[in-house]
Amino acid sequence: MPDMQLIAPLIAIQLLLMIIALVDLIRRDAARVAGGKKWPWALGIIFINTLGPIVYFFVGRKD
Amino acid sequence: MRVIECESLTKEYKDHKALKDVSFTIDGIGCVGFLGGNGAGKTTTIRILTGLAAPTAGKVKVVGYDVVTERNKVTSEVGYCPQIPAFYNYMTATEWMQWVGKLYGLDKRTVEERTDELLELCGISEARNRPIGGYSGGMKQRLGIAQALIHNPKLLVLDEPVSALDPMGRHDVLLLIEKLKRHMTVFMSTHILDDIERIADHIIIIKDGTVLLSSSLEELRASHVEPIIEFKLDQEDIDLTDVLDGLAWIREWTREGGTYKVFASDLQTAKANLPHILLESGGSLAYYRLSTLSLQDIFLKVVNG
Amino acid sequence: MTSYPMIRKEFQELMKTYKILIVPIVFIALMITQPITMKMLPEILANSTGLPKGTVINIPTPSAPEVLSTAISKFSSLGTFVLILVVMGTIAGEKASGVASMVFVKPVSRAKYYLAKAITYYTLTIGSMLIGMGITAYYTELLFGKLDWTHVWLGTWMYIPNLLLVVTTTLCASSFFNNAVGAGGASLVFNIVVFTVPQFLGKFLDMVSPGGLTNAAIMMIQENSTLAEAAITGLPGLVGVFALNIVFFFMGWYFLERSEI
Repeated sequence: MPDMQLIAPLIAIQLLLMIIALVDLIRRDAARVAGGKKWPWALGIIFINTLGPIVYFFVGRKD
Repeated sequence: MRVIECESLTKEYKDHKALKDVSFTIDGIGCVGFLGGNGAGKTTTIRILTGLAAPTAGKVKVVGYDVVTERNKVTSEVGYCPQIPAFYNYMTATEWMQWVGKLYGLDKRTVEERTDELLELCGISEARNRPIGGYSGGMKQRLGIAQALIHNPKLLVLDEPVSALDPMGRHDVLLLIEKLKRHMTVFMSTHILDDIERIADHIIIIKDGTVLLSSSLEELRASHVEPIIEFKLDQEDIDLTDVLDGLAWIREWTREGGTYKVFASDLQTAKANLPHILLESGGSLAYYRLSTLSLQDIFLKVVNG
Repeated sequence: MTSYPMIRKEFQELMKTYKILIVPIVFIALMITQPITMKMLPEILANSTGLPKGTVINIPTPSAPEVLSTAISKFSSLGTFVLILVVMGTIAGEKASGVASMVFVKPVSRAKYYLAKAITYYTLTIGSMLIGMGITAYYTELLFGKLDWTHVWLGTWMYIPNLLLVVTTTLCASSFFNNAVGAGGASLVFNIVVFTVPQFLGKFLDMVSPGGLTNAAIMMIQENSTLAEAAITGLPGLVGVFALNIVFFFMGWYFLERSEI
């Protein structure tokens, strides 16, 4: 299927963002996550394409 | 050496005057207790001493250098920890200490030695390789003090170092300050008199942006050594007003609850006669003792004029 | 002596907060979508309902330079937004949390602190843009045919000062405000105005404005003109945007020097 090849870079980017976001979330104390709970963020990162990780990076982390 | 020299410092903000007249000098090592209520001007004064804010008028010299014009010389001799110290949360205590050491231009070995020594002294060695973001308030406070000492400053400025801590943390930090004040000047603001009574050698009282008093604790006590007789009757309904007012050798007396405090102009006569007189009034003594003014009494006297 | 640990700390922070990965990845994502959607466009149209039966869709396949130039113009608004999000808290957030007061009682001048932030985020922005553009151009070449890489890189470098202006103005706002959101909001409003309004204010202002520079960069990438023509078109814009960068850089520095921490 040629289409899959075409969008392969987008899928790669999405996976990469998701992995970085998850690694960051796992290594972080719950107190330094917006809302104080980790699991809603985990769901958002995994199930909301691209936007999930990006929102987490910019709004979800308290440093 | 003059450690701090403030001369008629004022600080005005748009809508109010935070400091009206702050003048005091501090010499030599020891602990200076900077006492005042909320909004008295403690933090503003400290921010000026450390160069974070500029005074509207007046002069400040710290370790002999002008805070405004010779800032660089001041920073390398002064350590500072704010009321709620903040760090880069992703760093560990070790990383923060090493970074701060580099900012002061210390060489790597010195920094490592000082880091080990100070983290040990302040009791955070065990947590030193964990990110600071996970620290409790007390741990951050102690790290704040440790990092303020890395360059061996002559003056350590602490803004309310114990007010946010639980009793145990408070005790630890006060003990630490007691150790430190043997080698340097520790300038510590607080609104709690007990802290000062415990560790300060010099006291400065500030109220409404004006320094009311700056004196060594020893001198302050000496100038207010006035023997008083304190007693209480079992019978609280007996009114002693007429009896006490009628005695020539009593200068002044106060009553608070059932406790009387009597200032005698002639202590010997008072000691010889007062007990009889009290018993003759028909009461029995719950307690009776000779004492001096507490720091609390002196403080209230000074603040209330 | 002390500017080195400041810069090192900033880069360490980029790594610990993963900004050093996120920004290039987001830049790639924003740009690479363009060649992909353009390649898929005929198919999308063919599959979409609502077209009368028998309609012959005849879209001329765009050339590689055309695709790439639209990628840059599509990138500019979202890219600006991302940069503002990344930079807005860097000074304001540190003032709000109190770290700034811990730093400024040490022998760190505000100038060094400010400069370290600027150098770090300029580097991040330039690096991310070069990576994003490189990968997008490579992919465009795979899908649509050959590109002239001299045009690509020159066009990218012509566009970069605009991104730096976003960084500079956000830093400036971050020095002025004491919270990240205020700084971000102010910078966003300013950048929308400065990127969109000048085109309505006459030919000269349009030429020296960031918008003018973006157009010149697009012209360079489109390969319809010679290198020299495109470069000359971009010159007024380059001068104007550099001037704006310098003005806001110093304004931000001034704000920081004057602010009471």
